[in-house]
Amino acid sequence: MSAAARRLVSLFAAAAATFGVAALSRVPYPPARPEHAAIRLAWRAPGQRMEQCRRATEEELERLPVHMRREEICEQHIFPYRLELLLDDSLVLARTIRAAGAHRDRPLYVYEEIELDPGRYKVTVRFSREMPEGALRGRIEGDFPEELRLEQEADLGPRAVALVTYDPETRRLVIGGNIGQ
Amino acid sequence: MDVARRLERAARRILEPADAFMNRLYGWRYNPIYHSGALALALLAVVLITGIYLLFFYRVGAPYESVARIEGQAWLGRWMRALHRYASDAAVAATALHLLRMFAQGRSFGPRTLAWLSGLLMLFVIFVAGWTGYVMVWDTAGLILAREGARLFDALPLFAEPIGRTFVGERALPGAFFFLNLFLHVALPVGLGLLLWVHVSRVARPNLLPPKKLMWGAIGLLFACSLFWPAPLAPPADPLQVPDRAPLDAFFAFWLPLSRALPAGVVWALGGLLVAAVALVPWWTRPAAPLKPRPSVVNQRLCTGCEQCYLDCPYEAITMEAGLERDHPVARVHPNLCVSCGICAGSCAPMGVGPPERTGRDQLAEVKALLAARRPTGRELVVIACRHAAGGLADRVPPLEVRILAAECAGSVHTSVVEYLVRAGVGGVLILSCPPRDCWHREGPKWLEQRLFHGREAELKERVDRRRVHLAYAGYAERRAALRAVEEALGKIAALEVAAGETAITLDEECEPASEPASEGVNRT
Ligand code: HEM
Ligand code: SF4
Ligand code: SF4
Repeated sequence: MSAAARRLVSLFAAAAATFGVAALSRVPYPPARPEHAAIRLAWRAPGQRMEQCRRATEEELERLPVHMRREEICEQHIFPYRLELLLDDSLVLARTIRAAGAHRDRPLYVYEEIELDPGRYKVTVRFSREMPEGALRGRIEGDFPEELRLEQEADLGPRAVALVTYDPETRRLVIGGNIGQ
Repeated sequence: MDVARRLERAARRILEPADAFMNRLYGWRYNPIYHSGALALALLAVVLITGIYLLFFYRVGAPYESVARIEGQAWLGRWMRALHRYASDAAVAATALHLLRMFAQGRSFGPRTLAWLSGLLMLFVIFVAGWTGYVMVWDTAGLILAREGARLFDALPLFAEPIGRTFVGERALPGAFFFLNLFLHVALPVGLGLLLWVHVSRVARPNLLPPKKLMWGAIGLLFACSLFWPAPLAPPADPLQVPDRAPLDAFFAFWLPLSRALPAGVVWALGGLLVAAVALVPWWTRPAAPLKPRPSVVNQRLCTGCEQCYLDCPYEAITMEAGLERDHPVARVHPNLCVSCGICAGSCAPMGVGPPERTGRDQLAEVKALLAARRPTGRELVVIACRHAAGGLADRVPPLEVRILAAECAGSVHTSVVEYLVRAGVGGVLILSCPPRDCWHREGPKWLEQRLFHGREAELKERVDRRRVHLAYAGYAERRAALRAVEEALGKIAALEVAAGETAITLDEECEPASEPASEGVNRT
């Protein structure tokens, strides 16, 4: 290679590397244009608090200091809720939502997203209290409804997101977002 | 051969041909791969300066609008933003090369562990700063990155309330989110300065900046690219739309397509494994006892206290301390800092320091044995080749008129060895070293050249016939260049009279005490 040719190649290589950096800095993502729509269920619910009590066993009592011995041991939990999403009356999502926190005593967080083809749908969302296994002895606290239910038509264009949330004022599920009423 | 050595060799198979190609294009002085660490630092400086400018215009209350306004400043803002971005990208690329280079050359364990770990930490900081930087823009790409981050973090039991809820679109994003994001983006890189200090704390005279031509060339090209091809700005983030195609930065978001396709737990597991494997490199690549590099030792009886090894050691592994039974300070090697490069062996005129079996005395014994086995003809060439470079000649069976000695580092070759060979009557000596910026031990060829031709202490004596002493540079993959140097040296020998050998050779083993305190890097002539 002559000196001039080498200079040219070296300049070209440096320019190509720079161009490569700038090109890699803008890779289109996702590779295919998504033409779907989505329904997003996202809310935070205080839920219903229950106090579950049971008779303490002999050993448990022995382990406690005398002045703290009680006949009953009670723990507080938030009820789990069953979440169901139906589109045109067919079930597309069913999950049990358990309260957050190690002791299941924090709020219920719902965060689900379902992709679907654009179009008009009858959207049904049910959020209903589940009974845990074992007998419940104790009180239920809180005025969060035992069941929430939303049923509404939504017209979802390409890339539109319908957002279902819980409105603590009216204590109802509401649908919003790009639903093209 | 164990797994670590195999992986290192595989990495060298990639790196060495690339090095050779770059040397052909730019010459070893400006080879960007040799300078990848320093180049990364120069680019980060550009990121810092352009970032300060952008900070004046960014608003946490209206992030996207403020970036769009910067984009609207056709004269300054637009290219500042593009340069901020391209320089970060190039810095990531340079850092990746630097990491690969350190790994390939086995510079990842022992005394280099601290540099390895702090380097990784710097890379992590750059990565997080990049992530937050893209979220700052709050365009579609920012939303995709923020959502994915939230998904991953919500899989860990860290936050009382899932952070993914922030991006559902129920209400506008709180300014606090953008403030926190901006804080991370700015505060983390400030920590880089401290990390860099730790990173180079164990090397003497770190090369923090690349040669000017290379540095300004790289910055100039990125600047031109910023002018003519500004950075893209996707439409504003809208949580209530399925994100359209967005331009993502492969340097910072390369993991995203894989991550989105996998459950969060799997992403954490895979990421954790990768991070652990790279962070534990100093432990799993460390050679077992028989192959472990042995640190240098000082023979206190020979040390005259001249300080030359202390000045030359590229890893600051030598200090001068009061010696037993000596009335002057003597050199002391700190084994936990010594990488066993042997460069001190070449520094010491009385041959009082060096790794076991590789001191000046050991080198002389080897040469004497070589000449005893086959007497010099006055025509042959003795090549002293660095094992890690020199076109791989150290691993080759030489033709008859050439004899090859292998050295761990050309910088460890004692000039007495060269003197002895020439005075014993060999036709010539060629030291084949790596190109100076390629040195596995940082400063070998630099000191060697000064000792041979510029009178640096432990210098090649005046009386040695310089026509018979040659120095050439060639990387491991540059066999043609190495062979060319051999041919040239043979040609020069052929043009000289047949070398006459002396019979009783006495060598000086003295050094002048270092008079000028700052003699490092300065030619004495
Ligand atoms: C922001 C990123 C980084 C910058 C700016 C940087 C810069 C530097 C500089 C300037 C040196 C001194 C080079 C010399 O004078 O010989 C160095 C050495 C070193 N770097 Fe980095 N580095 C970075 C990241 C990394 C990473 C990610 C690793 C590996 C995980 C790494 C591993 C090393 C090692 C092992 C050395 C010591 C070399 C030796 O002892 O021979 N660095 N770095
Ligand atoms: S071998 Fe000598 S020059 Fe090399 S690191 Fe050890 S003490 Fe320093
Ligand atoms: S170069 Fe040799 S004589 Fe000088 S201080 Fe080091 S060990 Fe001592």
